[in-house]
Amino acid sequence: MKTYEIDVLVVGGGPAGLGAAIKARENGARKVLVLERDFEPGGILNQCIHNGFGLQYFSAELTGTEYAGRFIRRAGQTGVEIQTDTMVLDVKPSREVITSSAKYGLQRFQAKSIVLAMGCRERTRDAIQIYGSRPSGIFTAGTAQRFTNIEGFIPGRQVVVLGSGDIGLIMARRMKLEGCEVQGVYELLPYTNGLSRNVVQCLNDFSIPLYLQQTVTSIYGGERIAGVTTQKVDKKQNPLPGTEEYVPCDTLLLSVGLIPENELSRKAGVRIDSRTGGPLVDQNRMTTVPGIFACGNVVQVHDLADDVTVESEIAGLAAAGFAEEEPPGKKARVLVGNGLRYVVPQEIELSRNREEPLLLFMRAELPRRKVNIVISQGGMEKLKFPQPFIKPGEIIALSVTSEMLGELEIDQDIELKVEGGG
Amino acid sequence: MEEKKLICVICPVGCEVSATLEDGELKDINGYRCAQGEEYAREEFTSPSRILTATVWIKGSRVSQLPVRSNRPLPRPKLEEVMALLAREKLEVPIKEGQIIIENILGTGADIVSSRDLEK
Amino acid sequence: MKKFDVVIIGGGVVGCAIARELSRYNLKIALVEKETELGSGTSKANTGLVHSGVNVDNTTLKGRLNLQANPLFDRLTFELNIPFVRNGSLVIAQNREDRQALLRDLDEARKNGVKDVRWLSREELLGKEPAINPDSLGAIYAPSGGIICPFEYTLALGQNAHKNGVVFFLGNRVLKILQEKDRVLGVETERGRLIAPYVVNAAGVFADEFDSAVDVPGIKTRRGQYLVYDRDYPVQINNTIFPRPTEVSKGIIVTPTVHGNLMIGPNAEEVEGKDSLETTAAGINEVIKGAQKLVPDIDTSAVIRMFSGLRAVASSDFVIKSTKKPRGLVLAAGIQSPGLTAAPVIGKLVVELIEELGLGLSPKSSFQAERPSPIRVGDLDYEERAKLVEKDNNYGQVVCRCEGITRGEIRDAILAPLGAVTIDGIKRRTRAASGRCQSGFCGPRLVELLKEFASISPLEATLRGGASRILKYRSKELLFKAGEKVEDL
Repeated sequence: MKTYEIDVLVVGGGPAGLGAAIKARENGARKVLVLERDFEPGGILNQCIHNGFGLQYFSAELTGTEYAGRFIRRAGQTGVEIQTDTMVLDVKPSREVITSSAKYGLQRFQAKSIVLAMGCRERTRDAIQIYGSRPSGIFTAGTAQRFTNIEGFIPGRQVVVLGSGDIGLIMARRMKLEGCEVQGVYELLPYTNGLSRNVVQCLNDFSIPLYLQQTVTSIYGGERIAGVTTQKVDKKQNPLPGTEEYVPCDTLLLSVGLIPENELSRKAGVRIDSRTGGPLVDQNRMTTVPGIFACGNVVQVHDLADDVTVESEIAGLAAAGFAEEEPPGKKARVLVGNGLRYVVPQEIELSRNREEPLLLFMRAELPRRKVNIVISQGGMEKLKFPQPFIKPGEIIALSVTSEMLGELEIDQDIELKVEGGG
Repeated sequence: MEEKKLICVICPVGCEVSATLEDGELKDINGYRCAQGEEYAREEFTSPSRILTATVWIKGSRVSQLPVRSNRPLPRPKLEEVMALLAREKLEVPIKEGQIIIENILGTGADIVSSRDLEK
Repeated sequence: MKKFDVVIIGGGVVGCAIARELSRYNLKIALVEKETELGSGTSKANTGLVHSGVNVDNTTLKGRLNLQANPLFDRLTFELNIPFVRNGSLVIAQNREDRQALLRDLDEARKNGVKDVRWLSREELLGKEPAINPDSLGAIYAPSGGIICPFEYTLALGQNAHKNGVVFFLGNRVLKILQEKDRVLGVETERGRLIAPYVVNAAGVFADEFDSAVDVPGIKTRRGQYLVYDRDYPVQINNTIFPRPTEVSKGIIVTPTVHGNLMIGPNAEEVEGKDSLETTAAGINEVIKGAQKLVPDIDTSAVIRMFSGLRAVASSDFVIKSTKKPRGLVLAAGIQSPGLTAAPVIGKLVVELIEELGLGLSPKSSFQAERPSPIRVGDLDYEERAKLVEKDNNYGQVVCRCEGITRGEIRDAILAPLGAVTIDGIKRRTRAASGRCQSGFCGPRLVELLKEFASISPLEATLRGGASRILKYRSKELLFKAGEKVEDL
């Protein structure tokens, strides 16, 4: 097995990996290699044929494939190398990477820096424990999307969708446009986790009912799924006895959450934040292992590809500079206070002079109106960001300018929380 | 006279906008909180339109579906009719992103274009 | 009309073990299985244990066969290259009553010759398995208890029998056992008759379905539910952990699988119907509660799979005998736990019964006891793996990312004798799709590979045969009017 020297090695050729690789290449990294397991780069965007991408980053409304296309072409122009059909088997803390592919066999790479950009995967039926029989016809929404949009197959004709995240909503419309009957979208929570726009354009436009605080509790059918039991749930999300309804279907699509895919991160020895399910990173998206960076859905499950790009560029820039940079100074922890589920990054090095504003991504625990997001240190309120509306389904991105950062004490942990509102 | 309501989707606030229409013509509109919201609601009440995204069959590549889109919004009631036309389309590689697949579809002034490059 | 010496009904672990034992002799043997894959019934959904023989009653047939079978597994799994580990079993005393009873059981186990069996004090137990409930008072430790891959085990027995000349009819249901003047004549199947003077009924939960005139006990079905955990689940144990058994069952067990997943179950519930393979809220909760008594940290945070299995229960014991009416029929019925353990000895016993009925047996000189191991890329170190990929680059392409299974391994599983023809068949042979994403990523690839290597078109690809098709329509098909031609899409 040969060993190849690489400056910046990127694991994953989706939007995060491509964004990081291009940025690294544009900022001095000479040999930048992207390793992609699928047969073409683009990641999940290749099956995202719907529009709604790029409004922030390109100020244009693109489809997922168009958004990916811009990065794939840009990668070519900037001299980023991409190896497709290549699976990363191992990432070591020493930044050694082992891969397997049919074309290149087994390869060993030694990288100056590594960017982890493996994305995320979908939660399954078993992860959320839907009881009943085990027939065919049960798909995660993303798998059904791949079959429909790339492979050219429609799973079935009569569809129930569980979960009102964006993928669930998009697939409800997609199935309807393909001529299927969509029985309804069921959502455990009292509100949808998808963008309002998708509720209007994917469900209302096609008279697809949305059933809030209702879930699928059991599956029927010996060989192919024949139907499901739906049930209303109480405030604690427990199914309410007596509310069972049988809904016939030949297909059940699950859009019940995404989980950062961190098997390789664990092998690399990076610390995982139990709140995000992704690596704990600093503002440069460096993990707890020096020289190993992470960005995109592997760090936190984003709502928008545009945010993935912003994050990947931070990681790519820092990964390119890693070899030359002085060792990092002391980092302050970012603590998650009331009303928030998580904050990324989890650590910040406040000592370093910055010109760029610091971007903080966070997710709210509950929907609320007219709140302030407060940054404090040692119990003292330091900065305040008014927000007209927050909800768990939409990431909050705060831009902290260098001027604002001057308000903060170096070397002291900062805490973020939600205050006020209703 | 007809009363209509919608939730504005321009931003996460989700304002409820209501309107009064007479013979399809907007008489009164209120509930919006910004100019963009007003514009969105006016159009949504009178002539809702949507970008259509779909796929068509394509030969010669590892993927069997070519993603396509309308290059401008189509009248909402026309979407199903356009899908029926796309279902009968059969293409071959190579195709470039932006390449016109069906020009001026159903006389709407919008073209159906490829939304990715696809080679062998 | 095809003629054989012996027809075996049922391609589970018992049927396959009988087929292999019979294939040691110069006989014409057929095995008929209604499913398209071997091991599709009880053999695919059980705890995967080779029981040590602790807590067995040696006055029962199942107890005696268990004790006889356990020592055979080292050789058997070596010959057939089946994943098997003697990880040891622990029967936990959760209170003083348990301890008293288990100390008596320990004496019994020693008398029964269970190898190296001994008592562990509370401290020894917690030293060995720190995750065990600290309130435990000690345990019987039997190092000879083992875990086995039940799919590979069944398949290996079948493949080895096939290699030694047994003819397999898969996806073909036996409708009736043919008789004339109280003599067995063969079987009537969905696809014609198979004539044979000796028939073995090893049809599991379906053993009572062929002919009511035949003296077969009624089979009741007992369902057990299970949960399987992610390999990265932090709660880990090494031994198979049992509570003190009850009259009817060995109780809810906590065990590693040979592939490194934690598994818990089964509960035991009598169910109507032979296809009642549901999981239920009550059953799963019972399993979790039972497991938590042994290993308190167990929760549901990393469950990757829930499933149910059915046990065939004829009486409190196995029913292995030749029937008086008709002559020529041998029953291997009611094979409940410990059937997976006992199967190799059941095979030998059935051979003896057939011989007693008058079939002459002469050993076959060409019998080959070995089944070569399928290539398992994940077992190789990187250098060995690199060499393998150089020889055959199909082993370089990883298809199932969760379990790291390659295109080459999946191809082999399809092309091997009695090869995979369904998604579940691939999964059981290779573990592709059995990981944490449960086929989310590799599902579409497996459909493609069935097309490429088994010529099964994507619209015909099934999860497990029958009507369990994965995909029902081609894209856009539903947008065409009824009667409109769509095949040239």
